[in-house]
Amino acid sequence: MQVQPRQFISFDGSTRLNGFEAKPEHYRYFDELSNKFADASGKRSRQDAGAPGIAAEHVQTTDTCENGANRKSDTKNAPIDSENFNPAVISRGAGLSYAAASFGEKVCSVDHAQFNRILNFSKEQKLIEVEAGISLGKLYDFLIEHDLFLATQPGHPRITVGGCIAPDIHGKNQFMDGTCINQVESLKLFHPSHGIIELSPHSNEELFRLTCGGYGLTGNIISCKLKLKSIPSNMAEVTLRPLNRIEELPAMLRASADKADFIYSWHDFNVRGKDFGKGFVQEGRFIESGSRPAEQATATRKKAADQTLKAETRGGLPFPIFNPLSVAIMNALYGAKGANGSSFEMSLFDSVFPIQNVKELYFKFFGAAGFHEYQVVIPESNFGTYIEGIRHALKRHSLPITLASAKLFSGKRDLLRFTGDGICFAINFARGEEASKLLKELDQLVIRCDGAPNIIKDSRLSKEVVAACYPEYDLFRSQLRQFDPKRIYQSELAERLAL
Amino acid sequence: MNLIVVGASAGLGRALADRLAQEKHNLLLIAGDEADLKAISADLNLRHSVQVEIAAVRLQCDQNSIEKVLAKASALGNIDGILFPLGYSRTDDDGTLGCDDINRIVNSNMAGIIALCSHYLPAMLQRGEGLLVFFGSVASERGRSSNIVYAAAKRGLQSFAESLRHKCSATNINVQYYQLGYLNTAQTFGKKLPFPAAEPKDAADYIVRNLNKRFGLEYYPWFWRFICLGLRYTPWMVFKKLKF
Repeated sequence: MQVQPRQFISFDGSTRLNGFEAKPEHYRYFDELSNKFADASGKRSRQDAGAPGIAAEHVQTTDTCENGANRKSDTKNAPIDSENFNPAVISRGAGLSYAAASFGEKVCSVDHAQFNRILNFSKEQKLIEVEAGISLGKLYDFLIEHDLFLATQPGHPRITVGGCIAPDIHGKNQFMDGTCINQVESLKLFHPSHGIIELSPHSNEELFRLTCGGYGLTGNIISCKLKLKSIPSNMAEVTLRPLNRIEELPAMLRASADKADFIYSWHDFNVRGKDFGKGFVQEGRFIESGSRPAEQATATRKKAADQTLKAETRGGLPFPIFNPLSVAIMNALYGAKGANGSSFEMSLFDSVFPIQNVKELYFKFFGAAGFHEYQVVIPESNFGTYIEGIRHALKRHSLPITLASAKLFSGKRDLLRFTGDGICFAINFARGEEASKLLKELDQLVIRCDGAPNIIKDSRLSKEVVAACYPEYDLFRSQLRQFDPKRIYQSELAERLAL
Repeated sequence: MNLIVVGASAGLGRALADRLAQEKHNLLLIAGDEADLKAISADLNLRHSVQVEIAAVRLQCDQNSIEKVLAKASALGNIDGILFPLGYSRTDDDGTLGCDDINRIVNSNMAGIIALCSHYLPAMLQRGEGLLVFFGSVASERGRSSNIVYAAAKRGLQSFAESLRHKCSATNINVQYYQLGYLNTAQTFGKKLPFPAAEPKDAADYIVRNLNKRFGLEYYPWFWRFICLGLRYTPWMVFKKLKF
């Protein structure tokens, strides 16, 4: 087990913490991790450790594991940095989360980049088994050749599958396909005290629900089986429908939901008066074929794979490009494209992963100070109150809003999962003093509106706000402690929210 | 082609296996870790639709390990070429190692490679064609107070590759030797390096693009040619004072 000191920076630019990083290339690493913790807890071997809490009664561990975790390890020559190694670990995928979920002070981040292989695939059953470090882009490239598709995906192709499961992310089709947990048939979780455990909605269900949306705090997700969806081609048709009054947004999203495969909206929050929040709704449909050659779509994918969006380089500009004037110009130009309504075809890759290539500059334009994304899910009945609240807050704290966007949500809020019935609404703005004041008001507003902020998108969210918005906050904490009384898996996010 | 990649479970070996499968070569992957080999083989087979066999063997100069390789290689038929992107080094290689450790370093970096080559060479000579790609290290350019056995083994490998090239010069057997600089792998992870580390994926691209070229020695990344040239001609009076 090779562990090195490292300074981590959150993707939104907020958090700089010293931790440790382990860069394993082999499954043998998890053996070594088990031995390390066995040594730390009085030379007790993992096999003898049993499974406390939830695990003691309900967890079924795998005796012989094809991944080799139960094989005798070869640690003789492994350079273990025992002096500095803190017995707290967390998984790290692409490191693109806005919040510091994959690192923490003195926490060892386990890099899953090398665990990125496709292990099994059945076109007939529409199932694929992959290691958690596989990127969505690599997965897309494989599946599109078989006219299949992972229904729930966030907006960047370098995000890993493990990075989708741990925060239970959503896509632009949450209203019909749910969140990431709905796409997971089963997964293998590693925990030094329990070995490798297979979890699914039918086996170790409670731990499955705790892990999908558990922010990596139950262990290392090693691999998973994902359910797939058929698609007719690698093209999508997008229709832009102008929206003049933001109050009409919920009805318009509902109307689009019947005929679209994915929907999201764009709004201009920098204009005042009756035009505040005007914009357009983007309705996307998978189509049989398109005018754009397949080769061009492939070339686009390859280009995207070479992009170097990283937390470490996002804040390269010492000063922000975004200011009231530049944001007003950007929004006027972007808003114009949807003002009259139009339809166009685009590659499915571009529609699934809109944040790539030149659009990555968006993040860099915030400069070194970074940015905030405030994303909430609000019951439809309170949407008007929420928007009115933002409008008033922006009058007191004048800030250029670089992005305002909504999606339609459906589901039941449980544990710390970001879901529920209503409208998912996000705004972006630059970090700063005024932004902090605005965020404090928004925290109170979302509590008043019976909404919930997205934990994985907000690196400064407090435990009080999370506890107020997530009724099962205490249940999550107690289940986590039941499974892992020592709380081996830690992160800045976990510490901040007292998880 | 039917190719053997020895040391295929990590770093350059894994990147090469991926790149070769992309070029539709059938592969036998050899490494010590069966779990990783299974995962790599499944991945390559599914993504590139090529035949991928695996042998969980730590290659060394003994009949037992060679026979394990041969048993798996028979599934591919004739072997057209072998690539040896493997290496084994340790931080305490300072001239005081015991026999077991010395044997492991010499076997992994030279003796095992020579043994496998020696088995396949007669068949290649009979066909008059084949491919043998060896990988050395810039650490072996000049002997230093660290990596002592490792550098000796790699220099021995370089001599073996040169001899093979000489022996096969009248045939279509292509013998290539890459002298590798720093690569971004677990071996270099966290180390402060005086020169940038190349990505294994880029190295694999370069190597696969040049599989048909006939050259004796190639440095990768290219700038190491000049660094090594300088090192080689550094006078002993100066060299003995260098700490690296």
